[in-house]
Amino acid sequence: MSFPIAQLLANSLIIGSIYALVAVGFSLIYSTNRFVHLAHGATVVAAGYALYSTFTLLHLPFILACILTIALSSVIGFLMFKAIYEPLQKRKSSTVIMLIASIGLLTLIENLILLFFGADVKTIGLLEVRQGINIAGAIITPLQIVLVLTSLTLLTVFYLFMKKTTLGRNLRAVADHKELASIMGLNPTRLMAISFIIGSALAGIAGILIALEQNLDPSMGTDLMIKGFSGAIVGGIYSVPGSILGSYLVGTAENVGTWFLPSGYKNAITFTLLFLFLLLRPKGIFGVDKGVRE
Amino acid sequence: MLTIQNLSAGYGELEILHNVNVKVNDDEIVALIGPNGAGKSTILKSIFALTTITHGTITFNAEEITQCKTHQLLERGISYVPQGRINFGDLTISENLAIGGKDIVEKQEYSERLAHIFTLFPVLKTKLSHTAFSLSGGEQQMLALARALMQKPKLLLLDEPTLGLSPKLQKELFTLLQHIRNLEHVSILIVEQNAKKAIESADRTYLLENGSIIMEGGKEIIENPKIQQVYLGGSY
Ligand SMILES: Nc1ncnc2c1ncn2[C@@H]1O[C@H](COP(=O)(O)OP(=O)(O)OP(=O)(O)O)[C@@H](O)[C@H]1O
Ligand SMILES: [Mg+2]
Repeated sequence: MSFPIAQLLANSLIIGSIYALVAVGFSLIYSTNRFVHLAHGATVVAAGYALYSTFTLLHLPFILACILTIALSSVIGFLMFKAIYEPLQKRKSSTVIMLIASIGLLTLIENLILLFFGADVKTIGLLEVRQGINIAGAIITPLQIVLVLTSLTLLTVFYLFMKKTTLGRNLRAVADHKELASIMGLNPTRLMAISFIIGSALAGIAGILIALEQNLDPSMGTDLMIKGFSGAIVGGIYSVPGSILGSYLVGTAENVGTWFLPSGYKNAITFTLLFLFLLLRPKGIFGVDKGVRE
Repeated sequence: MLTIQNLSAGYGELEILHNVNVKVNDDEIVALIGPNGAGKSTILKSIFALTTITHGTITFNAEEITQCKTHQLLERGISYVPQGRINFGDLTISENLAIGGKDIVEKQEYSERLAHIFTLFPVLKTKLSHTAFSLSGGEQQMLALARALMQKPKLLLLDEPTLGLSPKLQKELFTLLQHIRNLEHVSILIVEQNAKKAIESADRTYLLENGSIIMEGGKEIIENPKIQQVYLGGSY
């Protein structure tokens, strides 16, 4: 079989769209809070299971189930900030402590899901698996098209929100210079909480999309976090377009790479890309030199 | 207008300021000078509740403001431009100014204020969509000052606004500050490294050493032997 370039690109676009939603939320939280919120991955899985519970188990209308799922994701993110991160920040905890706390939260939430739902995979079953459509030699299902379009739309809306709205500007101001933001009368703590709410809502949407596209299992949060994190670093963590581009790159590397290598190497490929960037261009593709930061 | 009385303050256990008394009257420019590490910045930070105050009071227009929250200080008309990184470097000039004017609700009033600011700092108007970090040192100081003035302060706290500027630009900045004071009826408390310039340009000057005020006076203190010897003699 010849190298199926169209199919690989299509698959990269699909998975990259999910990674990008994870990555931009993660970047937003990172840039305002300046610590690595790895439990962001747990929010994605929690959202997947929330959709499974509300839609598949409780038979709520799909739209309502989605709204509840996104709301729950924001609540989870907000609670993690209020209950764990904010008290730690108040005590001036080091970034290492924050990192350990976030790993702890990731593990805790994944294990809670395991406890409640068991280890066997869950399927949402929104649509019968339909015949794929052939687009330029790539087979894509209608669901996958909707998934990519939803993600691209949301990413655009999020980008415009950050660029054009007052709230977006204030979030960027806190990300840029927290002390000055405070002196100017902005409320950094409130804006940091808001970044958790918005970032986690994006994680919730990523969770919905991945739950529709793949089977759910409790440990997938770690995997998604690795991909979203890598996408953000590769693209430039302070840049929305950067995080998006980086995520598509990670998706492409992993799809093209596993065409040549066994699929068990998927994460190894992502890590290779991540390490290459950390070594050669740590600020990422869209990182700028002059934006001095301590 | 501003009265700092018997202020002792520092960082946690560490006391930096000892029994400091400073007064700023209406429409007055007051300079704080002294060697590095004397505690000049700490005085300004104390007004903005960024230090641990162990003793003393700060009053503004007969109202005690010691430990007021930032937004309460801004509401009362006190604005502060700190030392160091003084702008939102990744934000545009226009966004930086908008943050200064964020509490102006009326669109009309906002654009009038902005237009007025541009008459004081015409250079900013030509670079509205540039990011702040692309500005030169002098322009950065202008932007920080302009952003603070957008808040329509009655008292402006400036921490070394001439830092890194050429002597010519330093002079221009002082002239501009005097102009702003006359035009806006704003009092200015300014920390300044150049003792001579400060004494010449300010209405009154305080000399701070090791956290204590050791001298205070008008333009005449330039004749003071200690000022002559230590601060104008080249060792500082
Ligand atoms: N955040 C802080 N925590 C602990 N000590 C501090 C802090 N900021 C300043 N200091 C100490 O307080 C003392 C006074 O500092 P301050 O910044 O007020 O000096 P300054 O007169 O403004 O000096 P400069 O001319 O260098 O700006 C210094 O010894 C400094 O080390
Ligand atoms: Mg200082």
